Amino acid sequence: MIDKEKLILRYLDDALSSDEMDQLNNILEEDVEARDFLYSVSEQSVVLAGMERSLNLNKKKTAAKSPKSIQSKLFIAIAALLAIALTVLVSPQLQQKDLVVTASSVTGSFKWLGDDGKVFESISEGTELPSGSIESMSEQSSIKLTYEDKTQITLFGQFSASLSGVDQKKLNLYKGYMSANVKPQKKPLLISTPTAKMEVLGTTFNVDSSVNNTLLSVSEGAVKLTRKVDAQDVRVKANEAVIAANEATEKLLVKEILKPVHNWKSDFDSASQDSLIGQLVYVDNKAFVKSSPRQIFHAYLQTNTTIHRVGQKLQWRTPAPLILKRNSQVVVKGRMDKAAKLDILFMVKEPKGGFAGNFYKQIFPELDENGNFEIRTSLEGFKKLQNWSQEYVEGLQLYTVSMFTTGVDHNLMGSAIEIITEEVSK
Amino acid sequence: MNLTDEDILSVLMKTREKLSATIYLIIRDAQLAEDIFQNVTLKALTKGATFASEDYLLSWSFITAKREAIDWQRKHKKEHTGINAVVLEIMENEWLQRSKAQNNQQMDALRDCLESVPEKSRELLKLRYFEGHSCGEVGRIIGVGLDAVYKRLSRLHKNIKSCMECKLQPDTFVGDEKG
Repeated sequence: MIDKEKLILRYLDDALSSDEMDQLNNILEEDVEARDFLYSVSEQSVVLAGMERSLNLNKKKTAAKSPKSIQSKLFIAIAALLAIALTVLVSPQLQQKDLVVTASSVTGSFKWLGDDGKVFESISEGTELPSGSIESMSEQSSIKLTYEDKTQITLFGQFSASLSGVDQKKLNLYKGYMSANVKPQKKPLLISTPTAKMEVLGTTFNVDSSVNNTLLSVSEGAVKLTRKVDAQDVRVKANEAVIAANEATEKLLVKEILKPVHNWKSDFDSASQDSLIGQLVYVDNKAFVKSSPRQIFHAYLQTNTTIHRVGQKLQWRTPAPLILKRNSQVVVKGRMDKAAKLDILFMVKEPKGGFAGNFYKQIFPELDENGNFEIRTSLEGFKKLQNWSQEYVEGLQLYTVSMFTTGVDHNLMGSAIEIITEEVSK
Repeated sequence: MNLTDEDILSVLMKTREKLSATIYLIIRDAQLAEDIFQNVTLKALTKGATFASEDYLLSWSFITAKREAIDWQRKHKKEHTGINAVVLEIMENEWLQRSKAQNNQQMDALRDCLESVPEKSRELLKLRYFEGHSCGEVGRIIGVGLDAVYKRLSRLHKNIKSCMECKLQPDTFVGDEKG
């Protein structure tokens, strides 16, 4: 006999398989008692959370200085209403609205929703932001945020995150990449992703988060990581990395980051979907990654445009960092319906951690009669897409590599990307 | 006559827990449910929408909350782990019935019952729903297995529900006060 209540509690625990979810949906459709139990548990959960918030708030209020009155007579009617609403709707984040981070380097477009309801759509260097949520509007976006204590967080790529906390910094990285240089903290900086929780006292590290995996790599100091699915935790030290998945099929394993390599080849066929940019398809029994259209913010044209991009993130597959050298070359292979301008895009990190920027190079591939192309090109001519400190791509760690067409869809499909660095004879 | 801003706020505050509970059962995070409820309230007050009646506002708020919760779910979680549209539609109708019939006594009764749970049980609920730990993490913290956490939570939720129902029945004594 199915234990319906356990199934519901496991659903709320995000622990159901796809089949079990189907089973639960069938039960909920038919069984009014099951729906009643789900509803009751949900109601109890939010009321309990509200009571605990109030208890915490009261403790803080007792300790804090007297707050300013928000019911100023100067407020016009609607402002007063909103202020009252915001005061009544006390959430943990709102209690921490004094948090201010400064955008110290910005590329691309973002939407920042402050916890006080204020929306920032035009963020530039020097913009001060309260605690809130930020979402990038394109894959080429990057933003460096600096706290008052000089702790720096860089978010880049297609990311979604929220920041809060005055006494204790908190960051939820729902999706995307971040690198951080954290100054010594009295209370650990807490980072949460869909699959892991991390505690940081002061160090330099990188996090790459998706729905199914979190990759943590530490450059300096140490970070405590707890895998959410089974609460297993590890301490990750300098030059170590760990992947926390949403399944506990394997032991949480810290691996040493190996010595840098200078050669690499994509493995579209065996790579996880998390690491692919585009969709894996097979044509004539050969694996390709097929592009899908995506709106991006064009840094130079200062406008939104559509790109069709394929590629791979390196870090999920390579425990050893790939460092680009002056004599490195990139090979891109694929096919498209019609010859068109192709951009090769590198997202790179500094070797000791931290986002270093996006670099691109335009090429014009010649197609054979079947639309196939293969281009080998040097690093010469790669241009920086935004105003980060690094001028040259040499010496930087390759994070993702991709190619894309802009505007019209030419049905771009990638079959391989390689980085080749030949030994230089002394 | 359309509802005034004060009316809108009053209705939404009255249904706050029920609306948040609906959001919670989709996204399964009590803190986020509260955040989404806030967004819905702000939308109702600032987006220039007009509501001819309380019923209309309730329908709008449920649909908006559900949409925001599903959007969040799609952005941040695997889609197949969600409650399907058929069930949500059934629950929407039930929710509207419940909300219309709601009075302050119900939530007061629930708060009373939550206040009265033993300290250890309250800690279990706090870890799970306020601090947002998974059941696996909760088990590790309190030193019991995953199955035991599910069993304790299941029992606890049923007890709280019974307590609430008893409190809402006139002339009935509940829990520790029961003779």
